[in-house]
Amino acid sequence: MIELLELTKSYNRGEIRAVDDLSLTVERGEIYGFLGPNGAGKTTTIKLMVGILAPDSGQVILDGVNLAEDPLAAKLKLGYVPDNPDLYPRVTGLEYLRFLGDVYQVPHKERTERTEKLGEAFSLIQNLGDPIGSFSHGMRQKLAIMGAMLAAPPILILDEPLVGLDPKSSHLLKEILREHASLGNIVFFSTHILEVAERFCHRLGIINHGQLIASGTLEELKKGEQGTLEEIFLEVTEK
Amino acid sequence: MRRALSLWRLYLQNNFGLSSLRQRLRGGERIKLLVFLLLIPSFVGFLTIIYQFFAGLYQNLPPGQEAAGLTIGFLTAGTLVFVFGIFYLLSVFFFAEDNQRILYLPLRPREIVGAKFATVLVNEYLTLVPFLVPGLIAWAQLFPEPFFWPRALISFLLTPLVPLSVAALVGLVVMRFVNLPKSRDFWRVAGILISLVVVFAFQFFIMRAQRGYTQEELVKLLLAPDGLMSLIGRSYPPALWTAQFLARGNFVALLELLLLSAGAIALVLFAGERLFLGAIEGGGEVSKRKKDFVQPQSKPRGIFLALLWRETALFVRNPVFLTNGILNIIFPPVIIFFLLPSSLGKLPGAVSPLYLELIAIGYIAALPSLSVLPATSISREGKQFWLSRLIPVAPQLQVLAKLLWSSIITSLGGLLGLVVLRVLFKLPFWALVRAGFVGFVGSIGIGALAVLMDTLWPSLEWTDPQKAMKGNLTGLYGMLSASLYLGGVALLVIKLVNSGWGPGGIAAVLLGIFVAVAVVLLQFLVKSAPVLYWKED
Repeated sequence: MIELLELTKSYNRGEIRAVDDLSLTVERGEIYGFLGPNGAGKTTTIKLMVGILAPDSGQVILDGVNLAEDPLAAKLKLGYVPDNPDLYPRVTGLEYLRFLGDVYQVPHKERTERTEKLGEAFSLIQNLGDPIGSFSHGMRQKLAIMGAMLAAPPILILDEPLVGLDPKSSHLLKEILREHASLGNIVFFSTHILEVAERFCHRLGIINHGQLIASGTLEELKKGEQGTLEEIFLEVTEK
Repeated sequence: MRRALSLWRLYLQNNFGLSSLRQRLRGGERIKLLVFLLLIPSFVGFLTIIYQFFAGLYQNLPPGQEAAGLTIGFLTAGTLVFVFGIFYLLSVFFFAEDNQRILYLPLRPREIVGAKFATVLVNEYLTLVPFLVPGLIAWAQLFPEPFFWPRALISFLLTPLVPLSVAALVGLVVMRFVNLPKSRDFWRVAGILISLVVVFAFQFFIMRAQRGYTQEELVKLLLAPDGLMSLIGRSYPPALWTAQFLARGNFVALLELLLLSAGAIALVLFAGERLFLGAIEGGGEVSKRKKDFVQPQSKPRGIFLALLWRETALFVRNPVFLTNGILNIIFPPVIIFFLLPSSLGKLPGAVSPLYLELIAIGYIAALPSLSVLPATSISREGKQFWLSRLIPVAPQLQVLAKLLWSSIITSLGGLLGLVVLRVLFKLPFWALVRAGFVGFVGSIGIGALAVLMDTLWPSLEWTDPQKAMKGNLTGLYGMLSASLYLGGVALLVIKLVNSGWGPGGIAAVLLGIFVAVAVVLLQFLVKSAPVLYWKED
């Protein structure tokens, strides 16, 4: 389970509140879509969740482990794909995966199997011996996803994972994420593509000005009224 | 010309952060400025040592031959500019990421090369200031004469032009014509290194040839006015011409220097127009032949080994990191090996073994501050630092891996220094072992200090790797704070030597100090690591 408790993060000595008293819970087996306009605080929230940023106040609890109290145990439980995958450009794809396998202590057999399975699925297997610097944005995105899934973490957090992927890879990623969640794992991802969120997620959260302004299933967000997610999104974010 | 000047202005603004200086001073970088001000005494101490060296050199030369000291100064300056300039040029010309952003602009290759060359030149001037200016001040005080400072300014400005032009030409030719399909960057760097060795070997043989003078010829030469200056200047005439103009007001020498400098720069622009585009094309190719299947994942390593592998891969595969990190520690012993014998004649026994051992200890201990490696440990990760924050590895372990790795690399420089001492001075084996051990222990504290600086003020938002190395003030902070610390240790050692202490006793005292300081600094480092990795934005 992911628990965010009254999470707050500000910049410029408190002048800008990027994340403002945000609380939410994501249960095991759920795919949670995190929506919001540009600059709403999605990426900051995600960075707080994975420990790249530290909150001013509030807590992040991942699978029962408090991130601030035991960061190493908490980090072992998650995989993360950033919005812009800056990976080591002069290292080959395979070396990068090996490094992650080593630091996440993934057994040899499992890492080999997952590398081959995901590499084949993303049509990246032929390129893994090349330096990452020669990869396109989409290829780097796929490699970042492979790296995040190498340890089969119970919590997978992805920031705009579909950006830069071709339609086939995008479809494939959704299938892989669905399968990952069906095994009782959590998939938490941010996106701007409302159709994907609408069809793909079990629950949705909408953030604006750093505050979670709506959260629940699509039906709960509609509150019994007709309308698309786009209309709900526009309505709640323009209030 | 105007376009090249605009590009140059842009490079200078980017290189020195001029546009954002005011903002940075208003923001969190005021603390850096404060630290810089606090470290000024050690910088002044360094300048004083250089001043005293030159003043001693001028005074100890025979009357009428003092200008040979100036020639030595300009010769050394030229050597420094050539050796370090060639790798700086390499990164600015060919490995800078801005090439992709300027190639589509309506600029001629020679304009780009000219702007880049001028940017490196400004950096070389700044590098030469602490080395040459104290020597010029010493000369002005010992031999005051009218219009010295205008001549000094012209001499200073002309000093790096020829060696930097030669460096640029070597770089352009090697980069254009070394085009091996695999590990191209590695072979290009190797090509440059081989070129450097060839130049130094050439210099070495010229000096050996000079030793062919008979005693009578040498005496005759040394008795002639400025004979020694002419002798030294034969291996590098621009140094001789500069010294002749500066010390004797010889305008013919100035004209020779001006013509050579202008010709050298014109040649750089000409070669740039012809070779630059061909030299930077490609670089991101991958092999056409694909493997039929993915090679199985190699055997798992321990976490610490994986961290050490990462440090190695990030370092050796980036030519800018590799050259900047290795040069400072490899070249001092190499230069001493090639240049010192001819200056001192038969060396064994020429200098006290105690002094040599102490110098070796000091050199090895100071290596981490001379190399920018430890002081850029974090900064070299740049935008990929998010991964270090993400992985489930304690920050303490990560910084210790960085420290150990940089210690291993800098130790190679120490080892080379010890070999040179053995070959040139026949220092006893056990003295070498003792110096190596005590120096290495000392280097751990200095290395920890440098890594600590980078942990406190890392530079992660760079696009040009050169910014992570030379444009990073943590290297300067590390060097200045290390010189304060080692300066204090040196004063204590001088007292011990004057009190009649032997090498064993002094080594034991040094070992005690080094261990104590290393323990304290390692604790600071280990405590500051989680703040950077887990707390700061």
